[in-house]
Amino acid sequence: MALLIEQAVNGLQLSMLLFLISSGLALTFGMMQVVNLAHGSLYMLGAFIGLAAHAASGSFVLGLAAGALATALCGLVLEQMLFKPLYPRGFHAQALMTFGLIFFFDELVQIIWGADIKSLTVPAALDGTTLIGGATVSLYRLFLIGCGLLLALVLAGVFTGTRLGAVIRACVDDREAAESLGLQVPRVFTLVFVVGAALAGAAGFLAVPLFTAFTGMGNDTLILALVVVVLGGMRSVLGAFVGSLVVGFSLSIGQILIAGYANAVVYVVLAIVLLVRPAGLIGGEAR
Amino acid sequence: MARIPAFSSRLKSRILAAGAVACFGIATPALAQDIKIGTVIGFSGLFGAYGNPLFETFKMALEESGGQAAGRKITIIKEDDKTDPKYAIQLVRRYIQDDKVDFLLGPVYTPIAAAIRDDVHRGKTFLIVPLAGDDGITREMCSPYIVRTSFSSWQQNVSLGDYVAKNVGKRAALVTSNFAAAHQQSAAFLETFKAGGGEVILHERPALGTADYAAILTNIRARQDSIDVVYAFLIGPPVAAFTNQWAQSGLREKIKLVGVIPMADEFWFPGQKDNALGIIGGGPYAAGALDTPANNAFVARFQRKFNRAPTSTEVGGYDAGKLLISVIEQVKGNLKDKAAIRRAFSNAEINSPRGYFKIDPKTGNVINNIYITRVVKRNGVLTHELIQTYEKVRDPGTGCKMSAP
Amino acid sequence: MTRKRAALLAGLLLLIAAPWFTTGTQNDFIGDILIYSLFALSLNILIGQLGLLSFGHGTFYGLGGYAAAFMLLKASHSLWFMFAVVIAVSALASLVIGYFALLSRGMAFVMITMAISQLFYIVAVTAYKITGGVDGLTSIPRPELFPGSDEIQWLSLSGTTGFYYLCLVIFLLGLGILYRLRRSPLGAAFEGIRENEERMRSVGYPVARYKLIGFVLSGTLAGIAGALSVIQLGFAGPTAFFWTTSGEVILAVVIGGASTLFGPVIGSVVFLSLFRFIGQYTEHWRLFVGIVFVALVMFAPGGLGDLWRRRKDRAAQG
Repeated sequence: MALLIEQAVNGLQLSMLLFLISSGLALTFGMMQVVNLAHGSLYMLGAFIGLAAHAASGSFVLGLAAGALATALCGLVLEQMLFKPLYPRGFHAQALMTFGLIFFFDELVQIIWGADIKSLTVPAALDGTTLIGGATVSLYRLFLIGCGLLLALVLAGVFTGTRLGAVIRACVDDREAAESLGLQVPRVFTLVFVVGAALAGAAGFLAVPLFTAFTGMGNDTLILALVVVVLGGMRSVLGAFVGSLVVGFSLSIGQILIAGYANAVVYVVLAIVLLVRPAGLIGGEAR
Repeated sequence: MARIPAFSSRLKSRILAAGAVACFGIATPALAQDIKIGTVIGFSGLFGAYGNPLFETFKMALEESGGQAAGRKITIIKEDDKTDPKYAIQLVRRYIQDDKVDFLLGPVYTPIAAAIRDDVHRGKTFLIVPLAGDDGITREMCSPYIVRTSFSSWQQNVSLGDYVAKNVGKRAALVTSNFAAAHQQSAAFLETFKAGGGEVILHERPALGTADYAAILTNIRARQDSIDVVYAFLIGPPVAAFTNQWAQSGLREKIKLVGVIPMADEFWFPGQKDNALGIIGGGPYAAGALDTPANNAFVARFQRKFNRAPTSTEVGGYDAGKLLISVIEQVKGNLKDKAAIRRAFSNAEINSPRGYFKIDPKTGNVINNIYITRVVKRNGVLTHELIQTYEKVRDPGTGCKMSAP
Repeated sequence: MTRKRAALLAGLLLLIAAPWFTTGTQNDFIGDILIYSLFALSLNILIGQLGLLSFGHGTFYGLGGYAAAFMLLKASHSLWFMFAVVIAVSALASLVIGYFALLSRGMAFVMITMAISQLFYIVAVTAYKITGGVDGLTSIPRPELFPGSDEIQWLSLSGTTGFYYLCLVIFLLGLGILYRLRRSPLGAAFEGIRENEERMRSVGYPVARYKLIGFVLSGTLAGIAGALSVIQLGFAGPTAFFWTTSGEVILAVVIGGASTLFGPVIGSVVFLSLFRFIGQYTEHWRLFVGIVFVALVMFAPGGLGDLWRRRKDRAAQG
């Protein structure tokens, strides 16, 4: 029984970490339909800048804040200079441009911080394990579960309960109608993009104690995040949440049952889901 | 007048090609009598963390002889193999056919060694392998043109397996990445571990690159009463990730973690921090474990440049440099007699920081001691202490059929 | 029009004469460009003509490569037998994969093709006893035209020149097939499907079947390109299946432009040259490659082929 609980917790914490990582992509790619292959690069920047801030201050919280804010700023600059001109140009152009960004940032990070692998000790308050129903669970992983759930609640709240959420939905669903209503669509897009970037950066920093930080770390996560967003259904934060759960548990179960092929489970599940429900599990209309 | 793309682009590519080769020749004014070395090392991306320091220690060794040997200057053509076997093959072909190098240095990434082996052998150009640990390159794929200064997977592990079975515990759980090199490593470990009375309780084979080990740690926890030791072999960032997650899992108190020294050495300490304490390792080198004049001097010089102690990776590069100098001096700078160069490799005596060092004439692999170590803290810095030494461990070179060059 | 023909003829003559004025590995490099161009051209059947963005084209490139490797390592050295197997394997795989992938559209199609490619990667890496895993398959021998042809110098595929001409011949054949396709009723139907699939369907075209035909043709050509690449290097590795391989060939198409026949060729030239030459000058090549990609997008939106075409149009007007 304890074993079952522990494995369930494993699946859940992996899911929540995936949600943290993919939430930003759910906003930019899922909602705004902007292809940002450099999402992984933002994730990486958040980790490295956060680490630098942590090294300077000794504070985990400061590292997290610095990582998120710096990535948000970076996202702002990128959005204004590179993404904005490409919104009307569609998939090819955005894919090529962001692919180029991946190369650029991978090398930039290596030039600034070197190629060795960096890590972060878990803050003392979150160090150690605890017992839940007889199962030993790492405190830091519990913390991540908490973060993921909190983020989900906040995002859900914003999108269903606030005016800002309604405005964002309007701009994303039908740009022309929104503009004719007087909404400042370019500003809204920028806001969504920047928040998406900040979330990616924060996730990057939070993942460091578990996964470490290194140049190119975003490339594997990018694929998983893409899978999560598409599988769950674009245009919906709930979709990303569901997608995270599916992918997270698929990976966990895969690791228990067919260790070598664990990652394969994710792709098989993705292919099956998309064949049956092309718009994703919670998707709206197919595009 | 309209320009035609197909014509101009193809012509452009050829002009570009010719021009680049010309420019490149001008850019590095290597004189006819210079000895040319081409690097097949990954400098960018993740493996750059190995490739860059290794290259620096190689150059360090050359500098100790003034950058020359037997009166001939040594010039290095430094190119990045992008840690891609396909690109490495093309690079090696360029080195041999276009640049006409005398020696090749590399690789770091094991799959590249197997990929370039044929071109090296056919091209009759000597390759000094400073890191890649794949057994095959000095066994069934051996060649008179390939020598290795690092280790074979087998060497690292046989001594460790014996030590663990006799001194640490007889019931082991293995966590090894699911790919060929990891299987080689664990098979070598099990060879002597089982011979010493050990048994395998659990063998997890996570996919290459797995970052999250929660499920595996849970499995180990479920059987913790029947497990004394965990042997882990992973590569890349997962090494630090696993170590940290292991420490967070609360299993450290009861179960010992063991692995080859490169699983917990100065390369990883920044990523593992105190989570590395107590890990038992086996391998040809650990900076803090060897108190000899040669090693102390090497460590001091390296420390001044890089702010940390060197690992077996860097010793592999350093010894490659010293070996090269020795070989060139032995043949008095005459690189035409390949058989003589091969003999020079086998006869070379270098004062390696690792202690005993000899190139096995039968396989081209290095013969050296294997040290058993434990990670400790000295003066607030993570380092290794020496527990036991296995002398002059020599890879059997099974399947190596080599004729003189 | 005749000017263009003359230029193409000149280009062809230069390609044929290449072994005489190239030195060292330059000839190999041109061969590499021809092989990669074939790969990019095959993808453009999907992207440029049918308007289908496959993010898993590396699947067939890889399958063709491994098929060639297995044949040459285990079965026979015959070039023809090897090609027969490569074509059969690629065609069959693209038929089966295409059938399922084409059940979906848009983003779902993109992701399914990517997922399939990744699945092959995982299998190739994990089933290392068969595929060689991350190490791949090495020491793959060159095929021969017929038993004993290696003795005859100008027919031998073991050296650079013979193999280069093989690549050139296959490249020209592929180019010819695509040229014909563009001008055929089938090609016109492809464009129609790209423009407005629903309308084509309502007018009575068997859209699903045509898409599948295009997919199979595209996959088969990619498999042939993959086989050539493996023979050239004597090495087959799993990275062909990794999503970045599929991403890179998309880039090559986009850089050159998906709307013209030669666009993918131009893109391949630029792409391969970038990687080869920038790496020789700086170890920070990734930085510059990234900048070049971004610049290309910002300043040459339709790809370089399109850029040239627009300049030509402007010159014609002014």
